[in-house]
This record gives sequence, C-alpha cells and structure tokens, in this order.
Amino acid sequence: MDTIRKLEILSDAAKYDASCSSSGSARPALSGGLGNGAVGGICHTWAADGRCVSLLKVLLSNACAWDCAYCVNRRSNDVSRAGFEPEELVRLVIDFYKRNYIEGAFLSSGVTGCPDTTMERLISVARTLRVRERWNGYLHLKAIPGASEQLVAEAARWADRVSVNIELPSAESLGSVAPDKSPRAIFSVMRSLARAGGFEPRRLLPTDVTPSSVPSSNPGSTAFGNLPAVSGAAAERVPVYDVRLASTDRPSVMEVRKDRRRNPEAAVLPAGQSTQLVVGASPESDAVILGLAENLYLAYDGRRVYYSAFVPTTPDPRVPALPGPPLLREHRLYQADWLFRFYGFKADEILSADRPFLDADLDPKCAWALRNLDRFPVDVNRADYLELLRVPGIGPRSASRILRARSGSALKPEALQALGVVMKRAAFFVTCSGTVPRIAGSMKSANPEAAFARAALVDGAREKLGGTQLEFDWDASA
Amino acid sequence: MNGAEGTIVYHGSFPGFLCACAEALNSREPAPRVLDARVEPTLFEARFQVARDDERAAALWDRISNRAGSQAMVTVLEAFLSGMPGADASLATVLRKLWRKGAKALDDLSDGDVLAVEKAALRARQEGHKFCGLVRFSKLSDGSWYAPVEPSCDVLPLIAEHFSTRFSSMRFAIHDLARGSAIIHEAGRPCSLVEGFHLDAATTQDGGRPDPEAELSRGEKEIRALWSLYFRAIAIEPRRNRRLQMSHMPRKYWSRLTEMGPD
Ligand code: SF4
Repeated sequence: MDTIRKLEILSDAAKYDASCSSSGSARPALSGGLGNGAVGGICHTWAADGRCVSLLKVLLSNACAWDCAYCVNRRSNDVSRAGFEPEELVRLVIDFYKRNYIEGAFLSSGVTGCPDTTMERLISVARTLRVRERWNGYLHLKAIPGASEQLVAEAARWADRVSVNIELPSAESLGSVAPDKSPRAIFSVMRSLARAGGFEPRRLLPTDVTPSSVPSSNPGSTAFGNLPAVSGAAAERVPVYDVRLASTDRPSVMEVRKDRRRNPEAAVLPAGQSTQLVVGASPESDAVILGLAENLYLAYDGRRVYYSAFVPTTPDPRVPALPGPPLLREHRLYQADWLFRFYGFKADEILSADRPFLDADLDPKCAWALRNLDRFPVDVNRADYLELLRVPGIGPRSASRILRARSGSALKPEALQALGVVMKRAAFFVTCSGTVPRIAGSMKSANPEAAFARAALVDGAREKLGGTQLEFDWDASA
Repeated sequence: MNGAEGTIVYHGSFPGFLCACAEALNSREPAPRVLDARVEPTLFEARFQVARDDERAAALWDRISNRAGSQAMVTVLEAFLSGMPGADASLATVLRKLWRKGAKALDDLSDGDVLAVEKAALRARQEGHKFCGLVRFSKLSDGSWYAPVEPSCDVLPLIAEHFSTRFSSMRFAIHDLARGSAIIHEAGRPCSLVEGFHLDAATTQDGGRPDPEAELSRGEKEIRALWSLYFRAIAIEPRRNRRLQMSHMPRKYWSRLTEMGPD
C-alpha cells in the first residue's frame, strides 16, 4: 500500500479524537536541530468542520484487538486496515513540519498485540524523531490503557503531552461499551502521567464518604485540608470513578491551576496530560460529566478535558443510533469547562443533582447569573477581578481592561463597549457607580427582571448546532 | 481639525514616521498631526514634509523606550505595522504621551488615541500570530525554501524571529508579495528584512516575474498532495461548518494555502 492510501485511512481513523492543541510547551530549539515549541500553541489551518488543525493526527495502525462500541476502529467493524512503517511516519512528520504545515504530531494507535507492545512502537517513532532527527516540534502521544508505568514514563520523556482517553463517563458505561478497558487500566496510566509531570495524584473524596457528610465549612483549613490525600499505588482503591459533585469547600479549578508552578520549558511533559469524554454514547447527565471533569483537573492535574460529541459511524447495538452528533450539548459543556478553568466556577455552581443538564438556550454563565440575581448588579467601578469575571458579557480580557481603564477615571456605561464588554449581555448585570446602562432596542434600563432578561440572553447556538437531542431508550439497550 | 497648525507628512516607512514624530514633538502645542504622505490632503491643509533619517529615528526610539520600556515599544511597532487608517496619527499622539508619562500612558483607555493604538496593535499582533501558522514553504530545486504571503498588516517584522528560531538550519525567504519585502534567512545566521525582494529564478512567468512553481524541487508536488489529502480526511463530515472555518481563516488567505487549492 502506498503512503497516500495509508495516510487517508490512518488520518480518517484518528480524527474522532478532538484534541489538536499545541499549547503549553516552550521546548527550546536545538542548534543544528529542527523546530521548537510555541507556548501559546499555533493553529496552521482550519478543516471544513471549522476545527483548528495544528497537528498531524494519525494512527500508527488502525488494526485493533479491542472492541469499543463507539469507535470506528473496533475489531468488529468492517473497515480497511493499514499501518505505517515507522520510517514512513517519521518522514511525513518532518516533511510536513519543514513546510510549516503543522506544529507537530499527535500519534496514536489501535491496540496491536498487547498495550505494552503498542506503546513500544509509538515510543520508537517518538525517539527517532527526537534523537535522530533532532526534531523539537510539538509531540502528543496517546497512552494505551494498561500500559506499564515504565513505558508511560518513557513516552512522557519524549512527548510534550501524553493523553489517555476515559471516553465513557462512568465505570458502568465503560464496562458495557468498552469491555476491554477497565477503570483501573485507565486511571493507573493517568496517575503515572501525573507523577511524571511532578504532581502527586490525589483522592478527593474517600469512596465511603458521601458529599453531604463532608463538612461544608472548615474555617482555617488549607485547600484539601479535610480531604484525605492518598499516595502510593498500594493504597489506591480501584476502580476509582468518583463522579459525584464537588463539595462546596473544595478550591476551584482556576485557583488550583494558578498555584501550580509550571515550566513550559521542562523536558518532561511540559503540556501535561489531557483526556476525552464522549458525549451522547451513554446515559450520563451533564452534571456527572462536569463532576468527573472537575475531579480530573483537581486530582490528576489534567490540563484539558475534551468533550467529543458522539459521531455514530457504523451501527452497534451497544450505543444509540443518533441522527447526528449532539453538537449543542458538546458546545455547552465546553462553555462550562471554560468556566472552571478561567472564571473560577465550581461544578456544583453550574449544575446540581436536581438540575442535571445544562440549559440548551443559554450560555451556562448567563444561566448561573439568572439564578443568582441577588449578586447583581455589580458596580464596574468597584468590583474586583473575580466579581467582574462573573458578569455575563465580561471575560478575562475585558475584566482586566476595566481595571486598567478605571484607574484613570470612573467608567461610564458608554465606555464599556470599547473595552470589549458585550453590552447585550452585561447591561442587565452592571452599574457604573449607580448609573444603569440602557438596554439596546428597549425602553427598559437594566434591572434584571428574570423573564425579560432570559429572553434577551438566549444565544443562537440552538439554531446553529441544535437538532440532535438525545432520544434513546437507555434502559431498553442495557 | 487643526489644519492651521499644519500637518507633518512622511513617506511610508517606520523610520520616516518616527522622524515626523520627532518633528512633532519639537513643535509647540497644539501638536501638529502626523500623516502618511499618501493620504489625500484636505483643502486648507498646510503640509510639511520630513525626510527619512534613520539616525534621527533611532534616537527618538531610544529616547522613548528608555522612558516607557520595551513592552510599550512593542505595542508602538505593532500599531504602526497594522497599517490601519488613522493608526499612525493616533500613534504620533500616543508617542507624545509615552514620552511624558511613560508606559502608564497606555493604561488610559478612556483616551480615544490610546484605544485606537491598542486596537491597531492587537490587530497586527493577531495577524502576525495567524501567519506563524499560515506561512507555507515550498522546497526549491536548489534546496532553499520559499513562502509567498499576502497579509493585510505588515507582519514580517513581527514573525521574523519565530521563523528563524524554528527553522534555524534552513535557507529560506518569506516574501510579502504586496509590499515587496521579505525575511531572508541563511542557515545558522540571524535573519534580515529586505525591501524590493526578487526571487532569483531562471524561469519567468508571463510579464517577466520569476515563477517559483517552475523551480520546485523534485517530490514537492507529491508532498503537497499528501498534505491536501490529510486536510480533507481530517474533517468530520457530519460536523461540516464552512462558516466557522471561514471565521477563523478568511477567504483572503486561501490563495496562498496549499490545502485550499481547487480540489
Ligand atoms: S482500543 Fe477501542 S478506542 Fe482504541 S482503537 Fe481500539 S476500539 Fe478504538
């Protein structure tokens, strides 16, 4: 088979992994070598589905011994199979990189033989790129669940990022949909990766403690003070799949990430680990998914959690036959994830057991604001950075611009737009030292009256992405 | 506006602009406007031309950067390179403020000129960042690499270091076709920016311009084909979203992108 045909099969087989990020690494250029890392990441093009392409994302082989129901490459699916020769793949990476087509590569593979032999093959391509080719571009390697700690550590040595995908948001779904993968196999790789990056993974809640029995306030305690941190693999009780919502005295993901000192020029895993959750292939609610994501950020120092709308390829009775990928749901989950990482929100502020799904019509921050009207309006001339961040229509950039701009003179409502505030949303939630902005196209001035504000805050996401809501009889399929 | 006080005009280049600013700084309040000579004069405008003098420009640059620091000077350069209409006039005003108050002058976002400068700088910075990804090299038969680009802002000065660090052992040129400028890099050396660049090519197109397509190295077309194939294969059909694609990568960039060629 020639390279072009292999590339066609093996990139097609790899494309359902959402991660294409190239940020987080500032791997320096070597003299006489090729390439370096760009800490902010660089997109090189955008595919017809609008997603950024920055990496050559391919499988080394799509022959797979396992049978995960959501995956095109599963053993029981009838597709063409192919595999790259290691040299062939090395050439492709270098040829593409020198032309500035790509920022680096994301190499993964179906499980050929056992997890360890598959890992070894991936590692050997990585080693050739780094050592023989003196290539310092961005490298993302996939770890195979169940691979030995030693091989995971070696992958971490060559790569900027290593990821292992959880895919199914509960142990139960994993068991029925991906029978060859166990929580133990996945989470032990995540632990090894956290350790390779210099982070001791933590157990956030002991399995026999329910959220309500955790004291809700614990004055004077430091972060994690009342949460037992378990170290050492021997002490781990597996399978760990703690997807309960966070207790209220947990730190936010943003706080914890701010406190983590990172070195983007580090030789080992500068861009950390990430994982992916498939949305819509199993019955878990958004609350369960976000609770799990929060735990992954806090307990394993996960750098990114990707949410991938399930794309039904060829039918399998273990997963629903959706009319199309649930893109709207995926979009809202990403927005909520953004609130963890950059806005200081916690999972239980966004969703709770009695409100398990994100609002389809509102961005989760607007939805939160409308449920918490007692915290508004916020005076933009007084509020601190974190309070500003909580205002719909104000983001990290406009919040810091507000702080800069008001140090000169008090801001008036007319000035906010120019600072990057989206007044269409913010007008309901702010004052400028008592002056209330006008709502465009209405005689009303802001004073958020919930029904009126809600109607005005609905965004267009449903029209653009909606259509594929879940209507699948989960019980019947079990 | 204050046409009676006169307008100082310069010819295109950044050093020329700085000389005009130096002249404006020396004049009494209200400060004269600084304009690109290519802007059509208004009816009652008294224009005064300043010649480009690189030493004078460098002296002003050093003076202001001693007061305002290098971060602010990056913003100054970016704002100028944006080429946005009116950005230069605002920038001249802002340079005056930087000279007086130092870097904190840039914090006063309630000032229209500061805001305009910041906007312009952001635009150039973003386009520069985008071109770190959108530059496409082709390998020529002599082993060197050539990338034609057509950015809206004059981004070459902003991206030169990125490319010469990344491809330090490659001999390459990144050629801004509209402005005629180019980043030239020889293996293991720092890069240089040249004006009026011409590709040294044996083959020419109709009209006598050099034809890089006729100078490609062997195998170049095959690698382009692999890349175009990869680009098509990676899109997920049920997620197709041309509008989103175009919002990230406007059509004006497509003609220079290998993968966006006619399929
Ligand atoms: S292990 Fe599962 S997810 Fe991975 S390639 Fe095989 S079938 Fe697909």
